[in-house]
Amino acid sequence: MGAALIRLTAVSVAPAEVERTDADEDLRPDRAWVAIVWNDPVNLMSYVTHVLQKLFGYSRPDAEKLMLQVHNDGKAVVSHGTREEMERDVTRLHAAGLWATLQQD
Amino acid sequence: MSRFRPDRRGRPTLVLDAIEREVLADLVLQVRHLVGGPAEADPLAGLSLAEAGAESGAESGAEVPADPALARLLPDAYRDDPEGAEDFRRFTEADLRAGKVRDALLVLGDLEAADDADSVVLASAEQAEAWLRALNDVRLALGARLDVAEDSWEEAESLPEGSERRQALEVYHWLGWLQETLLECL
Repeated sequence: MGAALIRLTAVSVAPAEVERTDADEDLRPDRAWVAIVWNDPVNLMSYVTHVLQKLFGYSRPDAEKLMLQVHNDGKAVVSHGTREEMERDVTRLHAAGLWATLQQD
Repeated sequence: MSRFRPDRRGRPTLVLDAIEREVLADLVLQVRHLVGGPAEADPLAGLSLAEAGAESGAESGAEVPADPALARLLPDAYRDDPEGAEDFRRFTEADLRAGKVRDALLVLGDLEAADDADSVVLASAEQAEAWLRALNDVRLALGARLDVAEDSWEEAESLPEGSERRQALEVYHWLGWLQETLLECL
């Protein structure tokens, strides 16, 4: 959002119509992507908790809460951010062997 | 059934018998070949264990691997966006494979070194993390091969003793036990 406002002032000399298009484009939330961990029958509950703590710095209770959400609901959002950030997080989750995907929120 | 225990200094330590070591090394080596293909420069290629699983070479492409075990180790990053998944795979899969090969080789090296000392001591946090990941990769591959469900304990119990599937499930459960007890040491 902040970036979009800065951009608007910078292009304020542009015709109104173009300006509106830019604004529509720029006002999309830039942190609207999420990384999701999916339940699978192999990963241990203790290991999933460990990985979430290790990769994202969650406290043990928070990591356990997310792990249980994965286990009981089949999935949980473990991280929010830009598309690039979520691609990085999914890469790290795959390296740890968790089943993870990213998508727009 | 061996398990990790903390030694006097609190370091995770595993004492394996010869059969356990051979089973574990064989499986880790198979994962290493599964994700990395048989490498010419493999320092462990001379081991008798090296033959196992060497036939399943690795083709690194943009497609989901057809082998369910490999597909589970290298999953899609996008669920409803095949194009995004393909691009992601093209840019990241080689690194993902390389990391898994690194972890496998570290474990194989530790197991080989344990030949004489007969215990594996995980001295650093990085080493323990590599073991956790490598054990997990073996469990993922084996789990996919065996098509395990969450009730795999009950399933194993219900099978005749000594049957092939029961034995495989018992190995799978032992690997989970190793992973669990390693986590308890951390």
